[in-house]
Amino acid sequence: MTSRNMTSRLLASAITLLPVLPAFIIGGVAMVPAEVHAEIKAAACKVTAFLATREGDGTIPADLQFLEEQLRDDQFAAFKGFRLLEAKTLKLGLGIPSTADLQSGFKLKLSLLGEEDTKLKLHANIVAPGRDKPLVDTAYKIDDNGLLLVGGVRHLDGKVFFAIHCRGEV
Amino acid sequence: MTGTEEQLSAYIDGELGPEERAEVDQWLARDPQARALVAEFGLLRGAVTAGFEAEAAKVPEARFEQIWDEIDRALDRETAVHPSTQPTPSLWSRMLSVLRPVWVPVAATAAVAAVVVGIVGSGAITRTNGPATQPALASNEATSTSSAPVAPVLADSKPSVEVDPVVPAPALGEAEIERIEFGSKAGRIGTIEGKRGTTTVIWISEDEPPVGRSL
Repeated sequence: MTSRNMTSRLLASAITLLPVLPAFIIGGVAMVPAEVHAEIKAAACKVTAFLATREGDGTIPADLQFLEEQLRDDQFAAFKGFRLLEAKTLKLGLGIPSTADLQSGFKLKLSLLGEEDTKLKLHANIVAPGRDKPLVDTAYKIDDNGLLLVGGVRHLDGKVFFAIHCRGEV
Repeated sequence: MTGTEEQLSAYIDGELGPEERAEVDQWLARDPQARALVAEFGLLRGAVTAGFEAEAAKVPEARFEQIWDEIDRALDRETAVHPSTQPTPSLWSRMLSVLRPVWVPVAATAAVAAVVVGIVGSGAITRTNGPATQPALASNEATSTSSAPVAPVLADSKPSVEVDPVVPAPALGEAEIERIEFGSKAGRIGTIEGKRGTTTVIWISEDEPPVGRSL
């Protein structure tokens, strides 16, 4: 093969690849994460307190629709009425607890302990009205924005539950 | 037409050399019929020329340009059919001519890619819980951590809801309970298997211990 033929072939290959070059560039940009995995340093949490009662027609109100799948489960079959009590947001700093003083008198203290295996490590502590000793104190790992339900404590005409989900921030 | 007539015609058109022209002059001097023929040719030539000029005067300037364009195109075609004897264009010239149909879309796509890279690189696209949302969170934090007076919630009272666009609807995934204490109450950890995933539920029991993993 002459050098001219070789040059022509190389040139032809380069010309063939030219139209797809931008696609490679865009694809490369898309494949590179916008942020190299950064350590979670804070979390935004939402606490939803709701009451589950034995009286009701089973309707789940709109503000609790995000829990429909859980509330329709057999474990909640004893409850026929659901009512939102309160929803609050908390901003957690790493290792800095934040407390939601709920109108129902319950206190929910949340802490961001860190991150492990892409999951958030959290600490939750719930204290009933007029009590010092917590109803429950737990440390758990959960997916970013994952949901944890805690409750079953008598309150008013039913039992109170807390839906907790947090989203990590860098 | 005889050869002599052709010679006369060439004489009228001025196409003869000096020697031939001298011969024709001598011939015309001695032959009246030849002179008549030359006069006739001259009249005919004048009439034809005048006719062409008159026709040309009727043709507008634009038509002449069209004609010249057609001539140019014809010449180009002729050149394409019969390759010129000029040297072969350089490699880069040929490459550019080959790329001409594609370089515009390639350049446009590259420009779009550059814009995308610029936007991503500048951080204009960020996570929804990024720093830009922190002021909203700070205000929420102030609200949630305030020590409002504690009062029992009446059954018919309107719930307090903080609209929070920062924390989206939760994702489902089982929690890993690393440590748990139920205070003076009993409790258990359950899971709810749903279509979208598994949800962990911590049941605090005040009455009868529920069936399940009691702790």
